[in-house]
Amino acid sequence: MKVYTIFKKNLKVIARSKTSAFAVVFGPLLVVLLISLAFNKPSVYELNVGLTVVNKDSQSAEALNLSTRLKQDLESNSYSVLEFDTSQECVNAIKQGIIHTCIVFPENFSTLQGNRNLDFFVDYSRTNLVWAVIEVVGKNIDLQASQLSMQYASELLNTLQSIKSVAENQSLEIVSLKTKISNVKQKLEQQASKLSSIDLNTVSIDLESVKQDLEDLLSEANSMKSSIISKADSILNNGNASAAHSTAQSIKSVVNDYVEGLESDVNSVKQDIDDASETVNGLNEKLSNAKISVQEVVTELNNVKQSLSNAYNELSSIQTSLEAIIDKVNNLRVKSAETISNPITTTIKTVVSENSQLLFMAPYLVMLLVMFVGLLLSGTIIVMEKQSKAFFRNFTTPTREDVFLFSNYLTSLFLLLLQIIVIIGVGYYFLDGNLLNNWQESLVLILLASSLFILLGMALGYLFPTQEGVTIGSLSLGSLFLLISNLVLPLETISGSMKTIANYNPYVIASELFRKLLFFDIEFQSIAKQLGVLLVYSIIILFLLLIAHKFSLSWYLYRLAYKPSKKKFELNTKQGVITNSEELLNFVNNQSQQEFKKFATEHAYELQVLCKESLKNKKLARAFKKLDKAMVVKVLKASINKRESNDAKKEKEKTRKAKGKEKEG
Amino acid sequence: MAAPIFKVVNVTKVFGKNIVLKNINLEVQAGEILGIIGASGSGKTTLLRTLVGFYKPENGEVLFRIKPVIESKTASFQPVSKMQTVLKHLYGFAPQEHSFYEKLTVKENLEYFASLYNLEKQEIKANIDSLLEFMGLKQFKNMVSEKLSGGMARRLDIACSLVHEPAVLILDEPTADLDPLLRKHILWLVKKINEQGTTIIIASHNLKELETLCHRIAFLHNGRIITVGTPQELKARFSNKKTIRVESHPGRYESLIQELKSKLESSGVKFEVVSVEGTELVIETRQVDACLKQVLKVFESFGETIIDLKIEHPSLDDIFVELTRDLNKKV
Repeated sequence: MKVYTIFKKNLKVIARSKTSAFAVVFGPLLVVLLISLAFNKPSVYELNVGLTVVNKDSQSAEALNLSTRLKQDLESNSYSVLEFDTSQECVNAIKQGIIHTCIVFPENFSTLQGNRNLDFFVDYSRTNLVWAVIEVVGKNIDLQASQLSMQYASELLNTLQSIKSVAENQSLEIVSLKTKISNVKQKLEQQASKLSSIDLNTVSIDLESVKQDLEDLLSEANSMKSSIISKADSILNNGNASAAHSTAQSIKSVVNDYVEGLESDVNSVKQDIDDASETVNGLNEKLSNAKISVQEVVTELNNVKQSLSNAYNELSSIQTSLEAIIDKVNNLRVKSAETISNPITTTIKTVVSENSQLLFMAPYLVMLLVMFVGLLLSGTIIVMEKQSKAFFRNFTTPTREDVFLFSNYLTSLFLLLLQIIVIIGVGYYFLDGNLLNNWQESLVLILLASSLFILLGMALGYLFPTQEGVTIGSLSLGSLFLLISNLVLPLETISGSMKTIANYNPYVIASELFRKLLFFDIEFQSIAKQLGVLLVYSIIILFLLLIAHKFSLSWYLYRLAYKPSKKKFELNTKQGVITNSEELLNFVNNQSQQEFKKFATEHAYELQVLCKESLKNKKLARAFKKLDKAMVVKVLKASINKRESNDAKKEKEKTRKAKGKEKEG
Repeated sequence: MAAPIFKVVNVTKVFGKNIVLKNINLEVQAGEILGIIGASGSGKTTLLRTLVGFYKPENGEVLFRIKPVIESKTASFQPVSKMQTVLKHLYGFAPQEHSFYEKLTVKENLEYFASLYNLEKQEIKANIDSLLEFMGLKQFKNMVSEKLSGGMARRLDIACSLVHEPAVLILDEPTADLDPLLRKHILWLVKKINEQGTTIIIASHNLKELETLCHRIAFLHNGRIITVGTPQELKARFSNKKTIRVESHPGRYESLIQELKSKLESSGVKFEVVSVEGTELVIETRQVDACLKQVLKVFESFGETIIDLKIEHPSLDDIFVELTRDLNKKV
């Protein structure tokens, strides 16, 4: 009943307080709405890109063409492109925030020869944007580079193909050439063989024997003549001699004539033979020369044959190489220019069914809402309550503090859930996405996360005395959680120790869990551990809240009654005001033992305050507590002596320093 | 004499190095209106808050009687620190500053605070109706409290403190920042509440208001109770000093004062203050007759024609000032 009463009252107070209602209820909704709109753009970033083509007039057509294409591509992606004449103007525009990046085509830009380096200016001081700029513009430049790369690869492949066809033709020609060489070789061999087979050995006609034979013939003819003549003589000599004589004479004359004729003939033959011999000798000489020449020709033919063999071999080798080239060209694994320019193509396939960026952001945004609203709303409610004039009256009612705590928690939870319902409802309507996957688990998660952040906000509310303090505290804490989360930087990019811390960030745990619950079918058991972590956090924060609450109440009551004064405490007595140890010692010494005891008992607290606060002497305070006058006097004397000694030392030191300064002077 | 409902026994309250209450001993009687008078910073608010257990005293204790105050005179006393829940049903506290939700209407405020006392719905309704009527807030019951005037806000504050029909109503400076007419009305209301049987403890620095309202008055100075008693008792105890006020023509008071002082001293008449206040010469003395004789003589010798002559008995205010001045002198 009381919880409901306080809950109802909280809602009324928030609803009727326009600024609070706006800050508490509509503020976070507005923030989330703005974030949603910001993230729901068709292009992730709206960038202004500067483009400079240095010395445009002297640039090649290729450079101009490339810059135009790049500009068109960027503009077609909804990026606005501003052209600058010089790179300095472009860079200045970045500095002035007119553009986010600048692409400079240098002088003599050419992808084939000359300068092929594009200058890409970014402002690294804009850490949140620089990577996006690099990504977005780099992607467009990469696209151009990829197109060029494809073009060049295509040219390369065409060249290879033409080389292949040339090689194939040449290979065929080589084959024919080789055949021809083989034929030539064969013919050469035949001719060489023929040449070799020509007998050019010198003819040795035995003309001397012919001559001898002729000599012999002549000799025989002479002997025959002699015989014939002798016989003819004998015939002559012998009778019938006349006829015989005549006969013999005729024979003799014929023989003489014949022999003479023979002799002449023989001589003529001999002459002929000599001539023939001379001719033969000449012929032999020619033959010898011919033989030498034939041999030389054969040798040359053999050399030619060898050369042809070598040529043949070389042609074979060229043929082999050409075949190898053809084989290699044939066996090229990549035959398309696109494959060469983009060996790996990626197709982004989502493991979830939807593709709206806002939907993917939904778990982070909902948890962002839970976190900021949880922190701000609960903190604001607590501060509103603390600053409320009725805060004091609530103390006077017989209502336990935990009832107020629980009611405030419930109020915050109710308003937060209301906002989440609105957000999820709007998201469900606009996103066409099922934001209610695993709704039971999601509900548990939302309740747990909301409780965690509400309790944390309440603790902040109790710790900070003002609305401003709570707002700054909540925003700082929320920003810290946000900073070490996936929403600002991917956790994978954070260094090791920070990553570990980030993994225990309640916002990270809650948003990641919610993401899994929204997009995947997940068993409750698989998220139980993380839910357990959130639960443990909530319990720890609850304890912190109770401590903060207790501290806050004590401080409230203390501040309500006490305004710290800088004035030192003074003890008023009938004998006068006591402000220091000397006066106290004098006062105590003037008292009897009984008077001392009475005084110390009646003024126990005043004495304690005097001793502890003004004289800073706890020993003395203890002595007064014991009502021991002797001890009080002793402690006081010791204290006075110590102070005097310290004073003397200080004085001495002062004098020494003064003297030192004098000397220096 | 009614039975005490609260007993404050040797209470000392310290904040940091400030001893705000020093050895306070006080009893609050059932059915009475007890006024606590003190200057700003004298410890009135701390005393009231210690009385109901907001502050735990460093020394001494505050006791209260559980049984209905009028019915039982023999009921035992309990320390307030140990019985907070019971005690909170017993008293209503209207602090110096308004203590209600400005964004709620008059009726909503009353309903809210009544609900916190675990009252039945019907009882709440009946209490609120009668309170609205009694406090003159009926026609403003649906008005958002931040729009209430100072007087109405104060009435709502008191109404919030009375919504659970407490036996004791504690009012801390209830007439602060109010115009005289509203102050009068609030005091009239307090009287009426008391007449219905509610014990009232009221802290104020305005003694004149309390003089006619309170049954008893406690003087608080620098955290100490100087004296407690009914206004009559206090006057009887501390009113032997009187004030003679003389107005004369042509009113050469400066030279008259010199002469008067020397005459009074030479004739052995004790006096404390001889001063000029407006058109009057003021003399404070415990020997009125002797002093008056000397005054008339001096005025006659100076040729002054007396226009007006008054002899005033001191008010509680004067007594308080006198007492605190004496204390300061002692210190």
